[in-house]
Amino acid sequence: MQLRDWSLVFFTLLTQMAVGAFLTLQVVQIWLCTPKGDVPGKRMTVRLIAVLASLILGLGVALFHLSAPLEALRALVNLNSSWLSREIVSGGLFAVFLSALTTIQWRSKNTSPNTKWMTWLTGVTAVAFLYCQIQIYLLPSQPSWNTVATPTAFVASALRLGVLGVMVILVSEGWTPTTPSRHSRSPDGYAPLGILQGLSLVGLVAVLTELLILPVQVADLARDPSPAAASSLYKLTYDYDWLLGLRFGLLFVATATLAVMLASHRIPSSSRLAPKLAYASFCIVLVAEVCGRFLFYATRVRVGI
Amino acid sequence: MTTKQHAFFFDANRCTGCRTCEIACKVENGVEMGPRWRKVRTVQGDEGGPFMYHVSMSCNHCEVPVCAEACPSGAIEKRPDGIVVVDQSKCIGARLCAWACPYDAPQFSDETGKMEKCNFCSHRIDAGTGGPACAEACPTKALQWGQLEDIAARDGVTAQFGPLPEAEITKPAIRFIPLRPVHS
Amino acid sequence: MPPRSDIAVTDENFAPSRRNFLKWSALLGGATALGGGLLLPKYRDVEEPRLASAGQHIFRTANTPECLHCALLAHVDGGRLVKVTGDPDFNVLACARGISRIRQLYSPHRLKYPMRRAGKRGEDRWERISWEDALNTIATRYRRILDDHGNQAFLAFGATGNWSTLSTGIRGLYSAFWNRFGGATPIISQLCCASVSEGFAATFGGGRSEFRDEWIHSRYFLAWGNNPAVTNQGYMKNLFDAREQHGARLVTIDPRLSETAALSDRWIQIKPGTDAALALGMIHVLLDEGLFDHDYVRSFTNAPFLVRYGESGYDLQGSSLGWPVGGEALPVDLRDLHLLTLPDNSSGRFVVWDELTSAPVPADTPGARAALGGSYEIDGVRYQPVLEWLRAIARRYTPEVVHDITGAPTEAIASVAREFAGAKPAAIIQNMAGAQRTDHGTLTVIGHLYLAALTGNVGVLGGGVNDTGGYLGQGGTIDYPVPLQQNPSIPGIPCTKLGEYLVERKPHPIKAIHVAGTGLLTQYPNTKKIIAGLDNVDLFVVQDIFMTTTARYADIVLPVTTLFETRNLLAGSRSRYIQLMEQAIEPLFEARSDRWIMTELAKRLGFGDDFDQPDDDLFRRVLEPTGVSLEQLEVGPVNPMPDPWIPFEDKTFATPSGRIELFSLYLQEKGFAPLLEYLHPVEAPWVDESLAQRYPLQLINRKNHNHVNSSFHHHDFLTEIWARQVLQIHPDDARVRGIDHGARIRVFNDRGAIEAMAEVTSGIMTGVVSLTTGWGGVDEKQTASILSPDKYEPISLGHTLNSSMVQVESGDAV
Repeated sequence: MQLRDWSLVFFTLLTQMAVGAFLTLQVVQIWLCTPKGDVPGKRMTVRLIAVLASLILGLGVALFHLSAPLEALRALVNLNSSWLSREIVSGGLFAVFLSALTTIQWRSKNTSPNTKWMTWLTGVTAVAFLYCQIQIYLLPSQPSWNTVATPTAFVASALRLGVLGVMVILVSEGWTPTTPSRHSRSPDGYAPLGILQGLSLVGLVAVLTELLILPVQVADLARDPSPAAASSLYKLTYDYDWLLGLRFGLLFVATATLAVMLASHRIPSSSRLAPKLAYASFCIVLVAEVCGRFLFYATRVRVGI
Repeated sequence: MTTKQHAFFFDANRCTGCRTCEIACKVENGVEMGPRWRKVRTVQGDEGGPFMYHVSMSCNHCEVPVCAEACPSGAIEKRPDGIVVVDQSKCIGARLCAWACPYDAPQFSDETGKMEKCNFCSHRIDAGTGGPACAEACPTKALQWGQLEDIAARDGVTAQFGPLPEAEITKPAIRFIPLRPVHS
Repeated sequence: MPPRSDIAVTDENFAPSRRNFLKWSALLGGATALGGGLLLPKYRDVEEPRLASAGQHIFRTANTPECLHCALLAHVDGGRLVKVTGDPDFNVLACARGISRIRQLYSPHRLKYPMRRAGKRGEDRWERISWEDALNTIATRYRRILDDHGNQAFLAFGATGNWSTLSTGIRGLYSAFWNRFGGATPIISQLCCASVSEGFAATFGGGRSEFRDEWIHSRYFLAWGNNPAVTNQGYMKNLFDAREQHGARLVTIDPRLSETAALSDRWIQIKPGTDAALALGMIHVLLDEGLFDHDYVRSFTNAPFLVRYGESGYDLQGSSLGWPVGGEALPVDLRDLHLLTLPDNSSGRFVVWDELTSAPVPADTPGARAALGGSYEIDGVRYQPVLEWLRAIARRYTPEVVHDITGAPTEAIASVAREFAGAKPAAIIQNMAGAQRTDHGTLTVIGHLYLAALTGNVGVLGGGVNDTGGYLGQGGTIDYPVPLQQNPSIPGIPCTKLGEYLVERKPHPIKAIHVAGTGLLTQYPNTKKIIAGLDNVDLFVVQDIFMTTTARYADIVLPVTTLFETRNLLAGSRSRYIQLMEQAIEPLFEARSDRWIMTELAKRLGFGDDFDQPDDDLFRRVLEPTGVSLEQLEVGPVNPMPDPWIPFEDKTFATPSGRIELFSLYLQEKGFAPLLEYLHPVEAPWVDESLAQRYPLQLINRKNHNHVNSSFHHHDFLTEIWARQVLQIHPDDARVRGIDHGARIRVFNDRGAIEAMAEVTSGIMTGVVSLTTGWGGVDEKQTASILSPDKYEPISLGHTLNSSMVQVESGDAV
């Protein structure tokens, strides 16, 4: 793995976090909107800005993968057949729509038809962006990428980082978990049932999906008769066994942290503990994801000789 | 006349691994240290006794050039005569072609930050002064060049063997004669 | 630990196991740094001097090291060399080394101007001096040494790096210089082909046989202890054509899966140094099964000559049946065998037993039918034909015995012998084989010659023993460029004993050493000892193109031009062709030709007149005996030899009998056994068990495509591919030492230690390891000659570098 491939590690993770966080925010929004109430536009604006920042940062980092970053626009030329062109177009549109949405959100006090329309457009673009990103790696020349584990892993990363990212946003807004029997207490004075618990639960499940993805990937590589697949498997389980171990260790800790978060309303000092748990689990998962994405690139072995 | 497709022919039984093809390529095309448009690979193993053979490969000017498909900036093009060429002025160094190619043909130059690769010595083909320098320099005629149609019609040729990538991925314009086994 | 992939593949020059893939890549990177990268300034950083001429030209030149002497074309544009290609009209196409010379010209490693040592020897600290200063210093000091100690205080090395005539080639200007200097201490024997020469002298009465252009006519190739796919790669097309067009078979005998072995129909692995036992095993099959060419053997060899043991003879029939098995000492001393001769001195003085008249008759008696077996009593003394004795010796080499000695599969011995006898013409490709650079290597060669003679393959188109060749090797001759003088003879130094003789000041102190284009410190064995011996030398002058390992130890280095910068003649030392080498560009930097340097020194030493002549006059003198004119050469290379060429075509040999002498009078006179017998190498694990305790692995040296001896290690295009010294080791041997594929290792014995990278491969015998011979370049830590024994081959006094033992361990500290 070359130094410049590191930019792809951060590009994919940051943009996937953006996709995941944007979609999660919409779910949270829907959740918050039922049965009644709304989030003040300002607060939503800040949340969207956080997502946008992650997206822009990710897209920016991607430039470092090019040897001619200033000529990055040339990458749009081959929409005809290049998934990278499509990725950049969809990623760019996602950024544009998200900016537009943020602007609309900032200007309007409440949900307007424009917001709804733009939210849908942005969401679809985000999904398309993730889809293109996945397609780039489904190359017959790269057995360790050309497996169902790649889309699964990308979607799972988006979900993990998105959900936990939103959780971090919420606790940073001052949210604290409450018992499921009561409303969560929000700084806005209103909160539906256990949103933070819900996010913890989804995050926990998303973290645990790794227990499924790895066996799928290993099985796929083991089934593949090409020496390249064997070589990738070898790298993954032998050369980088320590990193794989570290990743699972971190995910285990994250699971535990999220489990505590899930039950934190039972702890007397939950209002002080919950933000720490949220930040901790996010950070731990982020590091684990960096390890995982590094492994994704580092264990790639081309077919042939 | 059927469509032209320039192609390589490689006979593992005639290759001594001398790498004259590699150096001839570098000398002819002024390739600096780093990129190796053509590489002689050594395959060793121990199935039915120890064996070793060499495979000389560059860009195989595939009928399905996945490199060109993957390139976001449209810098790779397949000419009507089948030669796949890189337009370096369009290359932005995304290196997707290198991921897509199963043959390790696109070579990234750290010096120029551009991809480069075998162009079948198109300057010689176009000028009518000969074929690829590698094939013409091969001291044993293990590496040859011609039209795919003719080369594919030779006895005992195959588009893939041993650890080579599945030909279906790109339909390479090269045919091989694999090594006859050694009896020890 | 997960299993290793069955097919290990790499895009580098060998195959890393999956397990070490990363480590390997890392090492290759590191290797570049060590072998080239970091130490090498960048090619384009080299200042390019302005060049005079303009316009596009193609000049003829040729590759001059000790290789195939391929014709090259130098493409020049605007006074700058832009491309080097092989001449497509030459009989062989130049290889990677030849065309990579474009990188030699502008290499940052070139010596640019004369320099004087400014630090300790080998420290690589220099002071730039002028040519005038350098030449005057050398001449003055040479004169002083000459006055104080005489010519014997000088040693001169040349030849291998550049075989062109007006430089250091065979019969070239450099030898002429030292002749006119009054001589110097001679080096006895040689590193390369001493045992081949001696084997041919012993059996064929001398000469060489090379028929690479005629391989197309061969129907069977036995590549024996030799790797023609590397050392004769240009000619392999003929071998491949013979296989494809005529179904010829290729069988390779080698301890390792060499490039040739890998392409063979059959590969037979034997322990290094046991070749003569295998040859005797095959001879046993030929004689036992009557597969030899009876008529040929009767007519053209001395096999039917009657021989007597001691004074009264020996009851060979009965007694020899109880002889110990092969490899064990015979109860008879073969030196006590005597040919029955008539009391005249003619070549026909030898006697055979005529089966028709049941009487002894002179060997060449017309109408007689010489007996090839049996035992005959003449005047109360027992005589047997030579072949009967050979039969008795060979009988001890049953397939089982040969298997025990050599490790070759029992079945292979007889089947290869039968195939070899059945396919005509059959060629043994020996080509100065590594197999003859062993203890008793001469016996290996004699074994080859026996096999070729017994099967009637000598003097046959496409048959025989293919040694190295070229015009000079095949009886051609050229003259020295300047007239020679008669010098008093000086006691010499055996080539392998250079270190010992320098250290111990034997046979007399050496005060000055002059080296021109020779890897003295990368090729001569027990190299550390030579370096130690340099302490006893007052002046060490090296003229070379590059700052080589050898040049680094010099007191004064002189920069020499490459083959593109000077006009020269390559007169068929390793090729049949005589070639003119045109000057393609003006010399770069302050580099001067070997010719210029020797001429300037000669002037200062008082014999410059003969040297200071126009090129063409010198060329004409050299060419005189060849019948080839300079004008012809200007058109292109000329082959002055008959085509096709059949060595020993008239089947007369320069031996006392005019025949192939299976019973070698030459050897007998020198005090050796006149008949072939296998002798164990001294430095082998099954012989010296105490040494094997410390150094259990047999080391053999191999040649790669990236070098010729120590030439070419400075061409970056080649070091990009072959970055490091690589030790091949069997997985079993690697495992017990904890050595992984791609690991950095230390190889050592009592003579020194070097560092290398491990290639763990089942393509080498257990108990045997292989290094690239020499290995020059910029890093002497990888030089294999440090490990080579300085024992010489008993008969030829040649090199025994392939009878060597070492130990290998992880780590890179040297």
